[in-house]
Amino acid sequence: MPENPVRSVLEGKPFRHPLHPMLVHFPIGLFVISLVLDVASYLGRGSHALVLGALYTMCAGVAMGIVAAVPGFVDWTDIRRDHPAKGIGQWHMGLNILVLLIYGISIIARFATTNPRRTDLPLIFTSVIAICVLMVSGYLGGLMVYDDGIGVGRHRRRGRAPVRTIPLTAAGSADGWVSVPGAELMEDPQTLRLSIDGVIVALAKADGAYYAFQEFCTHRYGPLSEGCLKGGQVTCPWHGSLFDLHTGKVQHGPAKTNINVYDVRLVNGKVSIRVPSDDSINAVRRSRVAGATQERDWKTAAEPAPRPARVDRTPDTR
Amino acid sequence: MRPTTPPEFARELTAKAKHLTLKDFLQGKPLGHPLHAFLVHLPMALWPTALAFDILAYVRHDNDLSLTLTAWWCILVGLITATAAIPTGIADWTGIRPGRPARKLGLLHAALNSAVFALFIVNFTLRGLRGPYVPSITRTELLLSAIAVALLFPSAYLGGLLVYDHGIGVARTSKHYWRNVAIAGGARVGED
Repeated sequence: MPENPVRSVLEGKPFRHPLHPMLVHFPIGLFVISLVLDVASYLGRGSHALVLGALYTMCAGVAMGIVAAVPGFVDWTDIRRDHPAKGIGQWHMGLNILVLLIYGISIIARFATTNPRRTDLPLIFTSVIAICVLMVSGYLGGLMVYDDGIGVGRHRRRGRAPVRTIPLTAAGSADGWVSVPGAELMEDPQTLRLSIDGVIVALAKADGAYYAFQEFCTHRYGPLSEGCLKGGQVTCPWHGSLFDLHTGKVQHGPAKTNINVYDVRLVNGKVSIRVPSDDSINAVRRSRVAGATQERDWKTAAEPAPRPARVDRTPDTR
Repeated sequence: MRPTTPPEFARELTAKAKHLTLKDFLQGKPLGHPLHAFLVHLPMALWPTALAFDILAYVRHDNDLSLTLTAWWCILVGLITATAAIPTGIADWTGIRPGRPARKLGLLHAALNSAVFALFIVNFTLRGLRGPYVPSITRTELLLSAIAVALLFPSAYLGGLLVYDHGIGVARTSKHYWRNVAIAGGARVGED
């Protein structure tokens, strides 16, 4: 499926930079200066010019806020459904709508004011409250970028990113191969995000081949399923670490550690993956951080089967 | 152990504050969000707004004080917040490893911003000499605003590229969270 050009522009792909963060400077700055002008009119000797300036900048802020909302909403639809930023984005959107509503009411109320040289105190307080809400909302928006990397490196991505994590289990399979339903219908390039008994795997189809590898970059754990797939390699969207998908080796940094790659096979048109179950180091690590993950929603949806007990290993062999 | 009572919260905060360096603070680590990106909203929005009001004031020629006064305040608040943003930007830049392409881009961003900052200082001084309550602007002031904003846009774009193309500041404070998620997800991870 060729990418929708309108969507591509709204996501800022031709600019290598999302549009929403470019536009949000304006409502933020305009609402703040509007409050400054209000306060200046109230505290100073009073001036109709300041009262008018506050109204102008406020109207411009609302207009720019509405403009910024469009690419913002498109950015939100691009976030994976089980990603923690999806919920943050909802709060961000709700609070921003609230701010625009407050300012809309404030603008209407300004036409009914009596003193042309000073902004009324209730209107100033309304702006203070709106800016407090805006600060919280802006902070949430910033968290989505700086904590969760939403929009970071997205312009490098080719093809569709995963819309959700697909829970799978190896419990029913005798030989460890897990069939991935629907994988044979994947576009080229496209990536799925799988959870195979809790192991998060990115399954990618690119240049006619299937690759399975760990979802997390080894540098700052960026989502490789949203990376750029090219020539049997994947680039992490966040800081550009490049990994070979046949061996998992780092081609260039900042990452220093190789990623896990998993076996994929295509038999009778069905794609299946094998994730080694005797990965003891990771099993120990996993138990150490049990409960410290966001991946609970879909885990409860499909509880992973208990791993078979290993009897062929004595505990003290290293 | 997570703190549950107010004294525990206070103790944890003071313990954290003791280890906090100036660079950490300027990078916005206690906030969990780069401080530079937070502060630059204001000059980035206010200086183009000042230019818009300048153009209106210049074109309309009707001595509307509300236009020139708004531009005057926009430039002033922009200058104050830009001054605050400078040290935070330097702190972020020093966090980029030498040899990475983002480092050069950061230098260019800083150079352009310095030019913009200087132009608005001159601009504001000229206006200040005439007093803020003058309902007209000169051609020099309009030109200074226009040139500065014409430099500000590419500079801000470079700053955006540092984040969205080079990932500067991304996962700086959340890397421990994502590390735990990665380990729980069976990923191989490097040394912390």
